[in-house]
Formats: sequence, C-alpha cells, structure tokens
Amino acid sequence: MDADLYVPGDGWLHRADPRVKFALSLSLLVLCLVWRTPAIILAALIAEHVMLVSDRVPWERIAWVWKALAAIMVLIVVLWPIFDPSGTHEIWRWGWLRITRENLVMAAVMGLRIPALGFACFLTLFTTSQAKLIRGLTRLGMPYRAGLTLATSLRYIPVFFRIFQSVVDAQRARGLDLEGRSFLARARAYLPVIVAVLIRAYRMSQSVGWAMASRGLGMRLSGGVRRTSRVEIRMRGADWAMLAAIVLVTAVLIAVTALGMLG
Amino acid sequence: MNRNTSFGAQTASRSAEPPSRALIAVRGLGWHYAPVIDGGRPILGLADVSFKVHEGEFVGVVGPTGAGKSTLCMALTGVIPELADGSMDGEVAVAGMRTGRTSVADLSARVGYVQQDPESQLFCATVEDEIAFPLENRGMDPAAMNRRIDGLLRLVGLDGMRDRAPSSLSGGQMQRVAIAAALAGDPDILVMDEPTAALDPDGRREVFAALDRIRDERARAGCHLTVVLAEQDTNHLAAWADRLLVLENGRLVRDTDPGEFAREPELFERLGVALPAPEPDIRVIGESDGRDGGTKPADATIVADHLTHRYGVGDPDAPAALDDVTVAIPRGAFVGLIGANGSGKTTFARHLNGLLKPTSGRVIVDGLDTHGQSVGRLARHVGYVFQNPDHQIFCASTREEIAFGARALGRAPKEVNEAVDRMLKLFDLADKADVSPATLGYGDRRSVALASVLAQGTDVLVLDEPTAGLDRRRGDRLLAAVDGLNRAGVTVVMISHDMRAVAEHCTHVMRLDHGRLAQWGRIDHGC
Repeated sequence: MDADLYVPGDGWLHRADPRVKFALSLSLLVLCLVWRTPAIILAALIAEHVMLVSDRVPWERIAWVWKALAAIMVLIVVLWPIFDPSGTHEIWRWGWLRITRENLVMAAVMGLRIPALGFACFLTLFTTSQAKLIRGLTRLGMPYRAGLTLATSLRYIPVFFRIFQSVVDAQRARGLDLEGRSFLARARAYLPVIVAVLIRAYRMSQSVGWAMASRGLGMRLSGGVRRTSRVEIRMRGADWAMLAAIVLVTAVLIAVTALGMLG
Repeated sequence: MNRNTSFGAQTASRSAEPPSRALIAVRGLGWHYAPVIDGGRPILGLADVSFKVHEGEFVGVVGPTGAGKSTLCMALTGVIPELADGSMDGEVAVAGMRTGRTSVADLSARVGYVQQDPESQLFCATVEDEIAFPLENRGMDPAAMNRRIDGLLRLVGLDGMRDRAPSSLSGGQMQRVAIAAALAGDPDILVMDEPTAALDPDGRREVFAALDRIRDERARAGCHLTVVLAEQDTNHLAAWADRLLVLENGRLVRDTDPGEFAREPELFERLGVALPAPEPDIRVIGESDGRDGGTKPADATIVADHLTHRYGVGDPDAPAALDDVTVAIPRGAFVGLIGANGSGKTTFARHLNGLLKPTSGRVIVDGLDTHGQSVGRLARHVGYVFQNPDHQIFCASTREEIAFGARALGRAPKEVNEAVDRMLKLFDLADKADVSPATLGYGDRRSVALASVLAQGTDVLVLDEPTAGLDRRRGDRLLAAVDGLNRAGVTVVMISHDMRAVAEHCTHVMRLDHGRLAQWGRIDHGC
C-alpha cells in the first residue's frame, strides 16, 4: 500500500469524535485480549467489519489488512498446537506432538484474534485524519509533541513500506532470485534491506525534525499567545450516545465474564 | 486584522529595523560534521566563510556537489549548530538573532527554510495541514487561518489543492507546498536548498515562477523578501540573482554577481558547475511515433509490441500508464527516454527488467519475452540503476555492494573481484572500498549505485535519471563511463530531464506523453 492509512471520507465513523473512537478501539482491544471464546472473537470481527463497511471504507483497504496480517496468522495457527499440547479429545499424535480438538480450536481463536486486534486499531486509523488524531490525543492530555510524533510516525508507515519495496526490487534487479528458496535464505536476504530502510528512515526523520523546527515547532510566544489548532473537535449528542453504548456494552461483557468466572 | 498582530509579539519589532543594516551577517563560519562512525575523523563542512546579505537581495549559492551549499543553508536557518551533530566556529546573525543562542523555532519567525527532498519535509496528511502547522505554532487565530491558507496556495499556484495528500502531488507541486509552508509565517528571509534538484523542467519552471510572483507581491507591499538559494541550475540564477556566492571544498571562493559566469567561465568549468546555457535543440531524423511499423530493425535488442500497462489490477477503467507503445530499439543504441513527470518513463523502464509486466502487449529484451521471466533471471541481461541511490544501497561495504549483483548472478569469484577493482578505479572509490556506502556523500552514493550495476556486465543498461542532483563534472564522469560501455556494444536506455546530456550522449530519443509514444528516432548530431 502506498497511500496514507487514513481513508478520506465522511461516514459516521469519520464524523465521530476521535476520543470516542479511541474508546471504541481500546475497548475492542481489551475485550479481544481478555476473551478466548471463538464465538465472541468472531462477533468482534464481524462487528468491526460491519462498522468499517457501513462507514464506506473501501473493501480493498479491508482486504489489505487481511493480507498484511495473513503471514502472522498462519504462523500462529501452525505453531499453536506445537506449544500447547493440552486438551482431552485427541485427534492425532506423533511423539510429543498432540493435536486435540481443544488446541485446534484455540489455534483458530488465536489466529483470528490477530485480525480482531488489528481491525480494532484500524477502525480509528482508517477513519481519523492526522490533524484530528493529534487533536484527540492532546485533548486527552497528551503533550502536543508526543501526539505529533505518534501521528507523524503513522503517516510515514506507508512511505517506509514503499522504500522497503524499492530496496527489495533493487536486490532482485541485481540478480537475487529468491523464488523457490528456503525461508531462511529469504530472511537472510531481507536483513540488509531492513538495515537500508532504517538508514533511510533515520535520515528522513532527521530532515522531518528540521522541517518541523524551521516551521516554528516549539516557538516561544509572548503576550499570552498560545499555540492554536485549526481543527477543533467537539463532543456532539451522537458522540455521547456512542460513548455511552461502548461503555455499557463493555461493562456488561466484563460483568458477565467476571460472573461466569466466579460461577 | 494587522498582519503582525495576528501572530505572537515576536514579529512585531520587524518594522523598527533600519533597512540598511545587514539582514544576515556571517563571520568566520566553520563547521565540522561529527564523524559518521566511531573513531572516524570529523568531516569538513565549511571553513572560514564570511559574508553579509542585505534586505531584499536575491543571493545564489553555487558550487560542486559536496562544496558546502546545504551546510551553509542549514547554518543560516540555525539547524546548524542546534540540531545537527558537529562543531561550529565563528558566528551567524540572522535578523539580529545569533544562531545557536536563538532556537531554530524562534529564528523561524524571520527565516523560512525549504529543503531539497520534498518527501521528507512534508510531514502532514493534507496540504492545508502542512500550511496550517506554522500558523498554529505562531498562535494564529484559527478563524483567520483558512483565508491565509487560500492566499498562500494562490500565491504558489496551487488553488483548489487544499485537501490533497502531499504524497499524491507531483514533485513541483510538493516543493511549492513546502515554499508556501515556509512563507506561512511571513518570514523576511527564505533559504532554499536546491529546491528544484529533483524536478523535471516543467516542475522547475513552476517553482521559479512561484518564487518570482512571491517576490513581486512582497515588493509591492513594501517589505522585500530576501532569498538565499543554493542551486545547480545556473540558468535561473543568472536571470534572477543579484549576488552569487561560489563555494569550493567548504570555502567561499567568490562573493560576486552573476556577471561572473561571463567574466570568469573557466572558474565554473574548473569547479564542475554548469554555466548558464540555453537548452539544446534536439533534432530527430527518421522520426516516427512507432506506429508505422518501419522501425523494426532485425537486430533490435529491445522490442515493445503494443505495450499497455495499467496500475491497479482488475480495474479496466484505470488510466493507462503506458498506452499501446510500439518501439524497436536497435542493438548498441543509447536512447534518451524523455517526457514530463508522470508521462510513463519509469513505467516503461521497469518493463525492461520485468519489475512490471505488460497488462497487454509484450516486451522482448535480448531475445527473451519478459512475461515468462523472473526479475532475477532478466538481471543477467539488463542492469537497472534506480532513481534514488538510497533505495538500492544495502550492503555493509562499498566493495560488497559493487560485487553483489555479479555474485548473485553466479559469476566466478576471480571475475567478480576484477570487475569490482575496475569499478572502484573507474569511479575513484578505491579509498572508500571498505566503508559503508550508505555513509558516503550523495555524489559517491550515486557512483556506487551505478558501479554496482555496471559490474553485472549486462548487454542492456537502464538508467533512471543517473545525473539528477549531481554537479556537471560528476554527471559527465558517470556518463563517460556509460559511453565507454555503449561503445563496446551495450545498449543503454537513459531516463533524463537533462536535455544537454541527452544531446551529447544519446544516439536516439524516445519521448513519452501521457503514456503514449510521442516521438522516436535517431538524433541528428549534425555530422
């Protein structure tokens, strides 16, 4: 992907106050980390997709997230039964390796948890412009510089993806043929690419820092003048309602889980 | 609302300054960059530089690659000594403020700074945020910002682009956004470090026209804009600069006026700085648009046959980046691939080594249809030098970098070593053989990138703007090396915006316009 993470638009999530979206993402993150029930992870995933689609985030962006997370999902699903031989309903056994109904279900849950967590973040990142993201963070008490640094780092993620791709292209163009080579050989070939991208990232971040300072970041202001913000955010009725719904649903689910554990 | 009172009180004292006083005073300025590696020696940036600049002057800074032009720009904005690693001698006073004692942010009330690389100085997600950023830092009333942003965009000729993402703009547009952002705080001085080095001729003209408009407007308002502009393109400096600072090895060797180009041309030739000259007129013989079928010599190394490429898979409505291009490039040709930014030059070039595959039509290189070939396999036939050297340097030492391609292609170790030694000598890199190439200067990084591809010893060579950002002498040296290979039978395709280089080195010219082949034929060298 070579575009910014933010998808321009004016759907309901785009219009929502960034602070409410932070709460939404955070609650989904916490709940997906706490739960290990397949039905609930699936429900969270479906809810996330419904929210993104009803906000008119294009399917290509959603597919991009799945594609980006695919490798790590496969890795977790494959490795889970190796490290977790538990479960009573054994399906297959080979030496110490046990495949059971329980650890297979758990592997699927763990695999699906990755996109569930990913989409929890992308709900905010796809629908919140850089300016609103910074404003949301600063209004929650984060220092402006920290908010700016965070938002700028996100802005440069696609740029670094692009540079990574260019360096990989340059390797291939100089005769490195990784087709059919082992995972290890590929990993070894990626190492210098990562170093090259890091060097470029370092140079770029230095330049960005100079550009920010030379446009007055941290300028001393006198006469009671303070830094202003072009983009202002305001909690509307719909935002309060959404926040209330998020808090309510989260509280109910936590309460049910806690009671279930006690019971 | 009065302009000065809309910001903090810092800018309010401007009108009190006597106009005759030097706006910039540089005395005995020296700078050594901290060594790149532990235990290394500091690198000389500037030595004993002194000069003054008065209000309203347009000062051009010229010199070969690595002479200290960027370093001087950084010193005038306060980035040196505050934000860069190194040690400074002497002093720089800008609008009465000493750099080092006053922060870069505070200096920015009076000095705007435009850097060379558009991508690393536009850090916001939209054009309007980019311009709002300096206004917010100055505490401007948000209600007044919209008008100010519109005014600045109009000034640089980008009306209606407020909502665009900077990354979706052309290089020329990005640099104009950077200029608008630098001017947002209404500085008295604009320092620009080779703002047009990465641009095509159209982009360059756009930037200079915007600059001209800005100075005019400011002059009419009675507060002249002082400009310090480091630049390789001396054509524009000769036309517009009042003064000229000539740098060599970090020293100021002339503090003069642009008349110096005519008075002492040998100085600039010695330094490798291009003298102002009109663009050469390239005449093409046997011209065709490739559709008449008459340009298919039997001995063609590269054949594009109705080549069409669309970005975005599965979208038949996506505009064609290449649209039905048919051309046959004879063996041993040196082709200048020209056209405006976005005309499809790089897209065409990337088809030659299989990095891109045709959406329809086909490409045959050295007898191979690229469709069934991997990039790695085509690398035996096609060497590709990318536009940005930093995107193709990834080894720990210069020697390894140059050897990488030849080794990956399975050439014998003795053959690889010989090729590497030849390249180190050809590009004067022998003393840098064991240094990490990423730590070298820009000119040397370009040389390493080219050397590493030449060492592959391929029959076809594709170069994407190999001389961009280089001074005349370095550019000529790189192209002389390519000429040597071309004489030995290597077919070369060179993307370039430098019409002089095309006129002097190429045998053929191929011009693309909106993805279509607009011109193709042999260059008439008049002999």
